[in-house]
Amino acid sequence: MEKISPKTKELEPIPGLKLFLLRMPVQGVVSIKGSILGGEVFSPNDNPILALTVADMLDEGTRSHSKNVIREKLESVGASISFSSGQNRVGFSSKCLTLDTALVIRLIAEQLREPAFKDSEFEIFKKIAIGSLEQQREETGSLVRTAIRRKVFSDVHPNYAFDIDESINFLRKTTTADLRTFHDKNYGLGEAVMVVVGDFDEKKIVKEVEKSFGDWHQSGLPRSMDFTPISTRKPEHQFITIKDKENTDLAMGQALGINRDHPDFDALSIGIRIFGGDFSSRLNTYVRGKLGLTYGIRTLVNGTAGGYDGFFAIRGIFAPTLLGRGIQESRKIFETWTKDGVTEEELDEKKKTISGEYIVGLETTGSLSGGICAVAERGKPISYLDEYPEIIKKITLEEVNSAIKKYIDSEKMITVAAGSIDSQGKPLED
Amino acid sequence: MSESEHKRSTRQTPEGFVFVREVGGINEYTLVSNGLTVLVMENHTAPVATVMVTYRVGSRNEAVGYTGSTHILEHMMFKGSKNFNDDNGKPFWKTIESTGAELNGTTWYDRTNYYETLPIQHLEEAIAIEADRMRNILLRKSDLDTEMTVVRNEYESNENDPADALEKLMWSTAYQAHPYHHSTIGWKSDIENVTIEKLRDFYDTFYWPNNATLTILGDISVDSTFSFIKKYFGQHQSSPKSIPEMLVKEPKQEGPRRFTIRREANKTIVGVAHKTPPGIHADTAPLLVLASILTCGKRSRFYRKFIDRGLATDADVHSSPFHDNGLFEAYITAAPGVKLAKIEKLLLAEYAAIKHKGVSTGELNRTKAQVKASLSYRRDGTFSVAGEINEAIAMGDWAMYVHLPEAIDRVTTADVKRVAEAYLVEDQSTIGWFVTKK
Repeated sequence: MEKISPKTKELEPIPGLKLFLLRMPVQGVVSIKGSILGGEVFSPNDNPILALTVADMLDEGTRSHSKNVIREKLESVGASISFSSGQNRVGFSSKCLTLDTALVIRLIAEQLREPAFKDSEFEIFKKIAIGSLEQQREETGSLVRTAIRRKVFSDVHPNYAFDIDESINFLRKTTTADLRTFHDKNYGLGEAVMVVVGDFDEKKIVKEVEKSFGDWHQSGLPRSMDFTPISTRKPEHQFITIKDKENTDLAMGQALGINRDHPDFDALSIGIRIFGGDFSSRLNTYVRGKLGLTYGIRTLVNGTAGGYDGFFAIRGIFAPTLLGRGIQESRKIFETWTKDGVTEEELDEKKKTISGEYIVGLETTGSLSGGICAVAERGKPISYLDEYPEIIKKITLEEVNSAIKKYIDSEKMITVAAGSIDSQGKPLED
Repeated sequence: MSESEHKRSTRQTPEGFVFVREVGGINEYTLVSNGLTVLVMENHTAPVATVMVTYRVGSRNEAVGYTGSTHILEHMMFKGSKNFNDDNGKPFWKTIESTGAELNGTTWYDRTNYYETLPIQHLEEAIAIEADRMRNILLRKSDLDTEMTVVRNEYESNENDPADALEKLMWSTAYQAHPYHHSTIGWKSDIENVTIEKLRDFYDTFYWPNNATLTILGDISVDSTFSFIKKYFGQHQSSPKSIPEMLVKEPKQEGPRRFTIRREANKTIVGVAHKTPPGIHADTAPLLVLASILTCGKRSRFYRKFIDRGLATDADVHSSPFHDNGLFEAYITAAPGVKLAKIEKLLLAEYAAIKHKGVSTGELNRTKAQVKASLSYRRDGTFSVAGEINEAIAMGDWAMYVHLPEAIDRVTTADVKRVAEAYLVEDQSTIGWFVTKK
């Protein structure tokens, strides 16, 4: 089977911007993904959501065009551009027709380089953003996602999450001058990545990238920030009461203490996936399949995308009356896993799954551009994408089981849940 | 028949199959021995294929007392069949998941589907599994005992979302007699009390090759694909009895309806719905265009009217083309402090303005450009195509997958004004509020 890396062209048309081009026989369709530095870890200490706010304001108009003009240009050709803020990077993503690729690249550049940050637009943005945050006060899933990060990490760690009140306060005090200062200081080339996959004219792409980004300054930001791994917080459980909810969200987790570049990370990840990452995993087979306690339960490894030490969590949903048993049974199977590890058969099966997923991932321009972009952002060669299934194949049972023993400590598991339950996790009476 | 539809195929029809038609590059065949509809399209972008089986049964085939049965049955279809089960060492999920497949099943008003997108070398396995569970599922009471609580928890998780709760009550208020009255997941007490006998009865009534469409798209060799289909699906007979029709017609609505849900919540939402014709009706295309003009993209009317002015945190309008009559629904989530009465008034004023003045050519062209682009995006991967064919099957004709975008391209501003006048009328409306309990 053909590999991705030999077909992917890597260029640096301008200093500080790596361009990856992969042609696919998808007539007339192009996916674009990329990023620059300027993500959340670069926010100032007194306003840790500033980077996120800046990224959210990128499509609210530029110094050259109002937001409505830009939206009209995109929507009139059926294209869209979305911006996102990650730990280290500000991402951009688009799907468009071949004919409109140059327009999209030009508008990505314009919005990244010269956002207007108009006071009037920012006031509306704040009103909507604060309104959405207020509405999250009753969203059990969102509350649990925030709570587990607050319990696992300290407030200086990139994986810590600010609660609704804190976020609203940060947002309220933010001014357009703050946005401009952050943008001017941090946005720029240097570690910029752009991936174009699909049906395109290479010369036109390169020309447009040179024209749109060519004279942009270099960002002085480092690829990532240094943080001391935090994994020693005392387990402190939390049950959040939200009335009139038929369903309860649960998270049980702990910090991993290692990042994705650590030699043990892949072995640990595959062990966690065998435990709860798929439908046929132990956790789902037992808690959902055998006991019928939940519609959804799975494990996740999160917070590692920026290269920081992430966390492991079991996420599930339960009726308030079944939450207690759900926690108990999940713990039971979790303890067995931490004690005995996984089997050779399970490991072999998961290796096959990962090989197959690689092939399925070749099918769409979106999945390929996402995969190439993720590898490029890490500073790894694109061949890593092709080698990954082979890397996984080489992992031994001993490596997986010793990683589980080394990094997962059942004493450190923190439990948080939100729903119509009391402070002890018992269901509220009607 | 449109230009994109052809009766004659250049390809030789495989033995045991009858060629029916070709529409938009997709070939339709019938497996002669049992009436299974087969749709096939080659796409050699990557060594991947999507296999999807769509059964023409959904929650519209249920009645009070056993609502949600179709959906519970869908869950039971993953609990094992004669040749793929825990006891014979080939558990369904492990067998398919270990190939790297993306797979699932879904149920809606008019159809139930099961699918796998997987590496091409596992195509035979996917066909074998789908064929096996078409007629050979185990349907054990012990499995239902645990799966019932799983489905009940799915119901509970839906109820956590105010928007889901509002839309559910919207349909059950707008439709009183027609089974679209109840949501696909069913009423909670029906979920709790469904019996294995009822599910068996449902399975034996609707899960037959002559009530299903098998769609296979991707990097396939047509010859071997048809030989797999014949080998596995060809084992089944067609249904011994004809598939029962659902004959309930909704009585005429003779005035506006209104309801309120009060819960301890921070979110307040207003929903406004109007009755629409069946999906294959000619007015479906202009209604879809109208919905798009109202909320597709940040230049849409409602985005500018509600979000850009800080009045709402979310605005969604959709027209649902189903097998029978549907709804044209608008849901606006108010920003904190904004009264629902104000939102409702602005929303209805916008409808009145469209009925009075119509929409602009610019708005229409933008929508058409979006549809045109989305047609191209369809070529990106096999699953998205299969998914859209699945919804067209639900409407009553898979070729709507091709014909509906063509019809959208023919819509004029006059058509949009006309359907607004015809369908956005007070007597056919249902308005619901989700409000905070004081």
